[in-house]
Amino acid sequence: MVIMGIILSVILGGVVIGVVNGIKEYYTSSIYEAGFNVIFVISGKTGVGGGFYPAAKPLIVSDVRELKNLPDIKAVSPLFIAGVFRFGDNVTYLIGADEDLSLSASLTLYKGRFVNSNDSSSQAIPVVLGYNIWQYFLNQSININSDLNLLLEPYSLTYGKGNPKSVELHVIGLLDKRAQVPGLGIDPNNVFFTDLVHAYKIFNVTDLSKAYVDGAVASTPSFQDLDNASNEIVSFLESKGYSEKTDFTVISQKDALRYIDRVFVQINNFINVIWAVVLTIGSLSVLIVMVITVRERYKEIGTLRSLGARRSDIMILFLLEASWLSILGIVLGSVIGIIVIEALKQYFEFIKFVTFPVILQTYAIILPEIFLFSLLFALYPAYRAARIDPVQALKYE
Amino acid sequence: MPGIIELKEVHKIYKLGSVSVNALNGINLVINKGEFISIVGPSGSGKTTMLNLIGLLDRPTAGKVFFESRDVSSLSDNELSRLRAEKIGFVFQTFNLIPSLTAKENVELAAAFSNKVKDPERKAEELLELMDLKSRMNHKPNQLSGGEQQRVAIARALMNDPLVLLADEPTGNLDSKTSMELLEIFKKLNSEGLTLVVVTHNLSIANEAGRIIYLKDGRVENEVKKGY
Repeated sequence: MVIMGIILSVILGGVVIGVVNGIKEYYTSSIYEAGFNVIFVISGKTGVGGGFYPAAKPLIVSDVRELKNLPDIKAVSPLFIAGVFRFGDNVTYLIGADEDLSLSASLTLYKGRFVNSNDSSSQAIPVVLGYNIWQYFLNQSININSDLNLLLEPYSLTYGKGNPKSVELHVIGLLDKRAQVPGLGIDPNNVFFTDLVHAYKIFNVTDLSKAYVDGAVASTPSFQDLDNASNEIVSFLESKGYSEKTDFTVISQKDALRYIDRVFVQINNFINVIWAVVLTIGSLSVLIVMVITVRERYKEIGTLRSLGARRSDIMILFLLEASWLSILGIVLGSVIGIIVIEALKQYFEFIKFVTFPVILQTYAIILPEIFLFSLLFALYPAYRAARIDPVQALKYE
Repeated sequence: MPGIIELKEVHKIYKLGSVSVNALNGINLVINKGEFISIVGPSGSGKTTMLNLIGLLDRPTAGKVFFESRDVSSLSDNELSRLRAEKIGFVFQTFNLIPSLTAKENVELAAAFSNKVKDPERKAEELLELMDLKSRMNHKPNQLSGGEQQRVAIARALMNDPLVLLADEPTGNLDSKTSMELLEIFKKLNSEGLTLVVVTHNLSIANEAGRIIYLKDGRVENEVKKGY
């Protein structure tokens, strides 16, 4: 019964805490993968947790490009969402950007190149394809210099909706798979990147300096510069007449991490309560069984005392037995827990976040706790065993 | 001349709820080295209580117990435990072997609480051989007869070369033939110099003792010495 109680504690702890740790690990690694030193500037108000309000005064290309002159900014690219390509239920976006995009957004190429200033004069729309697009959605073998003819649904937050039209695309690059930054809405793996000239041409906008952008992506020389850079961006845009309250949102990787921490602090507090209950129940099984065991072994305790065992010897004996049972339960529970988690992955999508490193990380915390709590709960019955009067114990039937 | 164990005006009172039971009333006893003493008396006369006091398992309510001239009332529980481990061997009516251990392990167990025995395993084997149990040493108690279990218990009691061996109704759960075998073992041990104190209802054993103490209502009613 002791071993069963401990096995259950290990399994429940592994599954519950492991899932939470796994999800946090996923989001945190996604944010780190988005780039160690990346800042997103969004035209409009949004938060890492979701919700969006259009800007009263949308950002324009020339103001965004000037961000590059700020002391802690290394590279900047404006971003303009020009429309949507649909592949069944999969929605992908056509986004215009500057040639600094690769530097600013930490995108890496699988093949080919990024857009540059020479692309603005081409007939077909030059595109760099997000991973999911060239890997899964296009249903054909795609390579550099491939030409595509797809149906575009023009859509812009600022320029409105246009009639769907067929567009010619010329593939110049294929992107590596990359994590989506939580809260930013668009998965970079589902994007066709092009240059700003072609993107704005869809809405017949030719004067780029005054064109409205949906946002920008900027990078700093290092992670430590993020906070300074964010403040510089806010100050600069406010000096251009934008209001931080209504017109733009600056989200750095640090902001995302802070948000994740805040959310998971609350989740962890809740999980800690559940874990405390699980731990107590598991440890109570140790207490109950030990109390029964001591009662059943009264005579044996009396015999040991008659042989010369001290009270401390009796106490150590019972604590050692509790330790042994606890260790056995922990080992069995760990193995069974891993099997259970692997089995659950077949049925529940979110359990996939519980990777083996996450399991090890979780076990590193819960297993010592289970062992210590078992010993703690075994202390009382062991103490009682040590205090038994040997004369009374020897009489016990 | 003081004996190895001495009881002086010893009283033992037990509280059973609101009732007090006078188990021993002013016992005076000296146990000398090499003696074979049997303690007899009706049930409730205080025999086992007296044996527990002699064996330092219990403390008197009044009076003094001396072990090797030391007043045990001044000794801590750990010191009493050490004396039991090194100087006293116990044999019980119900054998009191640990069921999960083999015969050899049960005998070795006695060495766990003292530093007297350098090679407990070897000594356990020797003692079991002495008890004619060499072929049974790896059997668990539930695989041994009553007589065999009691011989294992005696071997265990002898593990630390005790000063005195205390037996509480050692033949109480044995048939007469096995009881006589046990008596021969006790006689042999005593002839080799071991001090024996045996609480018994068995007159055969009682009569073999050099001194018979009759207890009644917690008092020494009579004492018979033979050949001393």
